[in-house]
Amino acid sequence: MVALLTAGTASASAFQLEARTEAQVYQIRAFRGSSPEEPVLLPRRRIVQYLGLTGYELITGQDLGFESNLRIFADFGLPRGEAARIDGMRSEDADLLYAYVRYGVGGFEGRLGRQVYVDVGDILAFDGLRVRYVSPLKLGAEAYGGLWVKGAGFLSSPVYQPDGTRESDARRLEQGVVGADPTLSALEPMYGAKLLLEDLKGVSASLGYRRALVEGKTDLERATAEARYGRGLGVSAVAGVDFDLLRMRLAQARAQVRWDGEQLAVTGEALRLSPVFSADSIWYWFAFAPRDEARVRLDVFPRGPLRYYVQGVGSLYHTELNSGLRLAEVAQEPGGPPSHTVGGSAGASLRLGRFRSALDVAYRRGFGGSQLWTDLTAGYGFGPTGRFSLDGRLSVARIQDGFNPLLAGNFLGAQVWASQALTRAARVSLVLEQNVNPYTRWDSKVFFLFDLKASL
Amino acid sequence: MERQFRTALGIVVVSFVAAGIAWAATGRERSLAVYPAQHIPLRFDHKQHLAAGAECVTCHDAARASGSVKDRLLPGHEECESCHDIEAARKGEKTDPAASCHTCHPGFDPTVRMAPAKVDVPTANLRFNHKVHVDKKVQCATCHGAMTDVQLASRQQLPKMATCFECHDGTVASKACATCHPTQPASGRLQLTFPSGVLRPMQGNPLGLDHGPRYEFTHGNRASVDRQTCMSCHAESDCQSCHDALQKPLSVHPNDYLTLHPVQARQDSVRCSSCHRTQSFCAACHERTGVGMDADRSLRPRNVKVHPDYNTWVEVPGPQHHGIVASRDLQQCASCHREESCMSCHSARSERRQVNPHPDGFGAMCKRAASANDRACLKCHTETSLAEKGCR
Repeated sequence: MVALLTAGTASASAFQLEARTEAQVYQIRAFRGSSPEEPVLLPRRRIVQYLGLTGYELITGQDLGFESNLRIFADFGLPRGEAARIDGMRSEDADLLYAYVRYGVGGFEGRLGRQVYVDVGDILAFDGLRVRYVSPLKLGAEAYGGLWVKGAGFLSSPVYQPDGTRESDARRLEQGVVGADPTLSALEPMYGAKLLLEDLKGVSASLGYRRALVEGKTDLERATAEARYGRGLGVSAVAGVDFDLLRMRLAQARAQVRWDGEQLAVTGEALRLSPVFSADSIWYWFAFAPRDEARVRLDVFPRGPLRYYVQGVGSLYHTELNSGLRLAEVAQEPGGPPSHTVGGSAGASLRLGRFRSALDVAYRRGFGGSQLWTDLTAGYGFGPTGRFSLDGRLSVARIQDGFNPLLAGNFLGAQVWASQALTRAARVSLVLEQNVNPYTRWDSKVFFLFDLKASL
Repeated sequence: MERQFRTALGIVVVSFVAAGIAWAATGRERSLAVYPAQHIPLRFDHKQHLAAGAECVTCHDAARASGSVKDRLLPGHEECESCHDIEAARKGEKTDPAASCHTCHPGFDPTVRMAPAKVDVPTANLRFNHKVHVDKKVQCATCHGAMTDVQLASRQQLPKMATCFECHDGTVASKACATCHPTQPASGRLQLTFPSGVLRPMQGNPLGLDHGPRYEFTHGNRASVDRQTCMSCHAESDCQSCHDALQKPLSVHPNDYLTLHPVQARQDSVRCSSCHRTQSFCAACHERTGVGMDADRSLRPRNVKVHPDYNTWVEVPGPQHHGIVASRDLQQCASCHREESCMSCHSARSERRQVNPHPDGFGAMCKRAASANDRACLKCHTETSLAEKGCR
């Protein structure tokens, strides 16, 4: 802010303001006091205001800047006092999503403040410092540390907090509930480091370690390995492994190999996925198994504005039960939910001047039920610069929930999105959505958006 | 009705395929953001000129000294006149080779119009220095392809990124994005928006970054392992505009998603967790709507069940028992239930029953686990029972 106020004296400095106002008006189907014949719909009347401020080259000639984004929201559809009865429900609040100062020079980069961190292990946010250096020899290191951003913290969102526990037990502590845990909202120091290899003959790789603690006890301890390869048209690959050091087992693995040609591309992916739970959660210590998934996709792009893809996907849900339980003996008996899913999708997209359109059809069945989606979108930008644009979307779904027999049938939805640029920096949009289905019968949604992106 | 629906669907699909084939010959796959659309109302045959002994520099000599994409490197009358006697043709003389206006400007009649239709070859949105490449002995054909079979050159003869990467591999020449792509003056990230279009990795991207259809569903692997590359174009706000759990990105969640999300969540719960944490987001909304059973008494479900009947789901060990589902997809449970739900039967302190939820071999690791963090242990066990089990 000081830099912003003194921008007049720092000639090379640049500042950008990004703001979005989003109003959402729709209903949510309630399962309380309702019946399939008489569904009860709860109102959502939410307004969200984002304010992003970014500054670059705060000192002339230096790669010094900051990025920040603040979110303020309120849901006027919540009856008074209802949020106070639900853990994790907030009727209004302010979240600082990220706000950090960044400095870069040569192969060095440092970030200080609230920042989002993404790797093969998870997406997380922390308040702290991250430094990264890659030498001309293409070897480097990264270290980071700070406090994990949790929903109970100051101006904090729970979006990237460790999962498996409530964000706070404040309500239950107030009520004197036995077993309520005051440590849920405690500060959570975390730190991590990575050894880096950057682009040696097209290969980049890292070996990482991360640990988080709550009141001196380990909440999460992981080791990661990541690699990627890309050296021109042909084969490229990314892969990553996330190993849980607390339970000493492979938690997640991702591998993607892609072959790109002039007319088509083939992608193969293999994934092992597990939920990332906090060690404070009882579920973390339960017997639960990972899910393996494989995907194969073919993209075809003949000369012209149209391109096509077709994809096949299959998942295998492993079952891990304590063999001392009678349940373990009957787990493989027929009559239960399938332990796999299979499916696929196909589609085409078109870009022709100011016109764009896409058609996607996706089908999947197995564990959890079956779903068939058809999605058709089309849009056009009017005027020489596309100041006014009109987009439409038609979705048809046939759903059969594998566990909830109420959720079955054909679902039809239509959406119209009109957007008008007011100036080069401001745009206003209105989205109308209408759904017809056997579940909520007939419901409408309205979204209003105002976007502002300006250089100061 | 069913048959009519199938027929209608078939017609739509066939129309799309037919349209695709129809457009297949139009040759526009180069990025409009990099190479804006051209209008070249000329008749020209590179093949013929090369066969006649012309070389590239005969017409494009300026390229050898060019340091910027803004330089005009197309030949004008001056270059043409080295072979075509335009002046003589203007006077009505017969020339060899032909040099009348309509030889190169088809349909142009100087007695009717002042000037032929204008050639419009906009500047490429790139940083490029022909001189540097010529000095390094890079042949014209390396980037522009063999012109011996080309008549009128167009955007198709401008190099794609894959061609650049044959030398720009990080060893022979830099492969940093900013070597060729313009950057935003302030942030240093690539400039993405141009009057002619939006720059996005497209088919044939040599790093496998093609942002093809439904990229919002397929970018996860790349973004989790290779975020540094993403950040060369995207600001933090680009990720946050979807991954923030409040915006309801309409390209990700199709119409009526609120109603239909349960099946997708069961089949892809890990994808959900890239924006939504089960206990702080999903469970809260499910309690409000009366799905979650651990809500405040006034908000608990009363008359709608979302699971199979109680005996099958909880009491009788069988293939439809909740334990099997929980083992396969525990996030599904955690998105509606609180820990108390499970503890009512799985806690050693429970008066109801004490079903062991731990995996095989847990006893052997429990001491190490409890020494790292015993808070979860003590939710279900007493200090004494932990000690008795050898976990202390």
